Amino acid sequence: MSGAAITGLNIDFATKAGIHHAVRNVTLSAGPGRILGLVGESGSGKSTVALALMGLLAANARVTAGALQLGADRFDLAQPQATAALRGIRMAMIFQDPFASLNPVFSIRAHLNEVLSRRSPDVTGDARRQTAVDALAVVGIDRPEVRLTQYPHELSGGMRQRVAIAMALLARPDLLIADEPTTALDATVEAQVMKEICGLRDRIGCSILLITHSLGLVAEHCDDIAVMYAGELVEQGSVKAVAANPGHPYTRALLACEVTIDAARGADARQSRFRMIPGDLPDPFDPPSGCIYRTRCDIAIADCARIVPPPVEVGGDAAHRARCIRVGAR
Amino acid sequence: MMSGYLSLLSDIWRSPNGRIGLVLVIAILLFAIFGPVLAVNPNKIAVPDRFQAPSFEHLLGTDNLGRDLFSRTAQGTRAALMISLMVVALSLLIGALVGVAAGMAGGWVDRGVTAFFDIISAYPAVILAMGLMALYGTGFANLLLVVTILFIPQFGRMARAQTLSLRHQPFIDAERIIGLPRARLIWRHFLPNVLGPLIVLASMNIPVVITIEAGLSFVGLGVQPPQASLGSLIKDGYTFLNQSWWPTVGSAVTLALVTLGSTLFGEAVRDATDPKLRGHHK
Amino acid sequence: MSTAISIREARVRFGHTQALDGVSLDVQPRDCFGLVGESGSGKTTLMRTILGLERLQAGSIALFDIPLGKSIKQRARLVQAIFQDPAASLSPRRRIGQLLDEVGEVMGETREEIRIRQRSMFQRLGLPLGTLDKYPYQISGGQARRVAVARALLMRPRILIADEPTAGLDVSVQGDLLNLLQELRADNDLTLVVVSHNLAVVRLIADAAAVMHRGRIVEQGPAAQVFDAPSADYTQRLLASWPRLRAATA
Repeated sequence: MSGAAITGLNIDFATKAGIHHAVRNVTLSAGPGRILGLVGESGSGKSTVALALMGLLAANARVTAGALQLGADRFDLAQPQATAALRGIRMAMIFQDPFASLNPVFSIRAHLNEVLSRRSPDVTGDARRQTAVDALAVVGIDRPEVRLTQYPHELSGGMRQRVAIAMALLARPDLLIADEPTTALDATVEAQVMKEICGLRDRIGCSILLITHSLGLVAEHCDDIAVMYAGELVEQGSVKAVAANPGHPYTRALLACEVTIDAARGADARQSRFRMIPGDLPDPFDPPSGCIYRTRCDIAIADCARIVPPPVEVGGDAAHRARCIRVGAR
Repeated sequence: MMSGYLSLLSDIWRSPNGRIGLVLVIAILLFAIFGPVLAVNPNKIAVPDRFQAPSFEHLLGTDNLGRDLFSRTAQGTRAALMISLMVVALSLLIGALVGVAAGMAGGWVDRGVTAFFDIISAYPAVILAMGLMALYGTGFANLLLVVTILFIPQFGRMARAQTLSLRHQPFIDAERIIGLPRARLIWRHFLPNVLGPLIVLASMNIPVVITIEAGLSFVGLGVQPPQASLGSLIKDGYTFLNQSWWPTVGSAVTLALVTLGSTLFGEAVRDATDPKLRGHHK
Repeated sequence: MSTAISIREARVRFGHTQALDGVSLDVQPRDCFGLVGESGSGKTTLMRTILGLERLQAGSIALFDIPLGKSIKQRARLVQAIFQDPAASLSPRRRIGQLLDEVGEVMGETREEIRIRQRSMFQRLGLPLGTLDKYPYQISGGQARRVAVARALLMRPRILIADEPTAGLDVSVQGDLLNLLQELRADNDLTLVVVSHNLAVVRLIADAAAVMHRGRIVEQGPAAQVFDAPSADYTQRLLASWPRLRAATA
């Protein structure tokens, strides 16, 4: 298990209105045994990145450039089926919709067997069954022997995600991609499922790419954070560094907008005001020159329209970089 | 609304099958409307002129009784189109009303209506039609009635399914909470959304009705002589096939073109109005 | 002074599930009341019963001391709602203007009267007048949201229910809607009920709140008490599961 890195990822979508450069030059890395939270709002392209890694993009999407480095091996993502052989062995994915991860006509046992037959083909019969039972028990599913015989519709959403995590556990991947795994779940279930996902990292030492729109989730569970806006990566670094000292104005604004459960309450609820970022996402077919965020930025200057900002170190921490020419300004 | 229809037509024109269907449908309509007007009396018997090949006087030749085939085929096409349009319109109307009522009412009304639909559709269509006509006699009115009954379940089921899914849509809830009276709610917000798919189904059923009518006429249960029907024309031609192949060919090819044209057109309408395929709105 | 909403022992059952199991609560006029709970808690059913979309099998609901019977008209003048998916709450085959004219119809106004009010409402909400001629599929999600708000307000309700107002909204834009709700509440003297699973937001915006779980109210009272000093076990668990941006990093 030696970490995963994505370099120079570019993805285009061919639409009726033209070519949409949905992901532009994204480079990020998830260290071995570390959880990287990839944060972004609608239109950020974060899910597209995940789908590109697994080779699950739609028919009108094309990876024009980009590479995935898994340990010592390099994969050219622009090649069709570049990572097909890795699925279920060195890479695994958990999806947002717990109903969609599992095939309704197959039993839980069939699902787990599928992973096992691909990952450890020489383990068969009783040994395989026991491995499956153990995997379910480890992720906190009660009565695992009974659950093996059940079908997805007999389980709750939280249970289904746990099965998906169990499948990832059995695959023993180098990289686990979790795309909004808890968005469709209630808060109490979310906490438990996140515990299992982190537990996976503890058990098998994989790197985890957690894709989410929730800064709170990233703050609680992730080691590192990468922030995307309108298809570009704007900031990355350790969660501690970025949360304490956000370098990019978007990250700063996002943190300010986030409503925390422990925010200060005024005496009169009527007075509560909520922060927002004014403006709209840039037109995907006519993006602004220079910095992609400048049309909504509170500290934009004339140069921001001329220069595409390169990554700049923030606060003397080499691992913390923000793509802004005015890092540190307020 | 007009712009909606125009854009529908342009969508249909864009697909190659739709184009063929549209052209055929227009050609058939012109044939059916103007054919009998331009040609000679379709019922004029002139035995000495029987089995003539196509000529300027008789564009499609003559049949076993010397009647002009062009005008008889045109008459038959007209009958086919009229019957199919009337049947489809009637069964859509009745099916829609019954289906919506069942969907809204629920309970035993719904169960009864569904059972009624199931019973009718359990029978093979043509057998049921033949049986009913054997019981109640032939004739235009009976023919219409019988074939209409055959199609009510399809429209009814679709109308019921649409109603059930629409009942709980947020926009229906929104109309309810502003206090819009029930009747207006059904008329303005329910029916237009229920009718959409039904009309598409109707356009796809037209060739089916035409084929059933031709089949019934072929066995003598459809449109009665001396009225011409594509089915009876084929049958007459078939009886005298060894004396002249022309009558059969003329009417069979026409039937094939009518069915093909309306099928392609119906499918093109379905594809053009499918909201999932309609990506270009906005 | 009468309570805005008064519910006593409400019971609703769907098949085997008891969606509302003896729910009683009070909402004070001009308050912002938060109704929170997870999925299956019954909060949506409760909202629908108040709006008249579901019928109570037992218990009673009174709005401003008027017990709610079958009269939809009465209820429509007292309480309105903005639904979770605003675009889906607009009838797809009708123009926006036609939908809003219906408000005039049910309120017994003339065409001119309702048109004047539509125009000033659109101005207030920042909607271009051209929107009136469009179909719901032709406007953006944000505009659809504002149209839904316009329709609700044109009914001149005394109570406005917002169903999951932040669902599906990015954090950077939800503030806009929440601030709008605050303004509307102040300007129109409204009683605002926010039904949501977003505890953090409700905690800040509500004067009073109730927490629902499995068809019952497990906690009820002023927001400060419910969110900062809850007594029920479930409420404490719920608040503890909510992800936190740690104070040390702020």
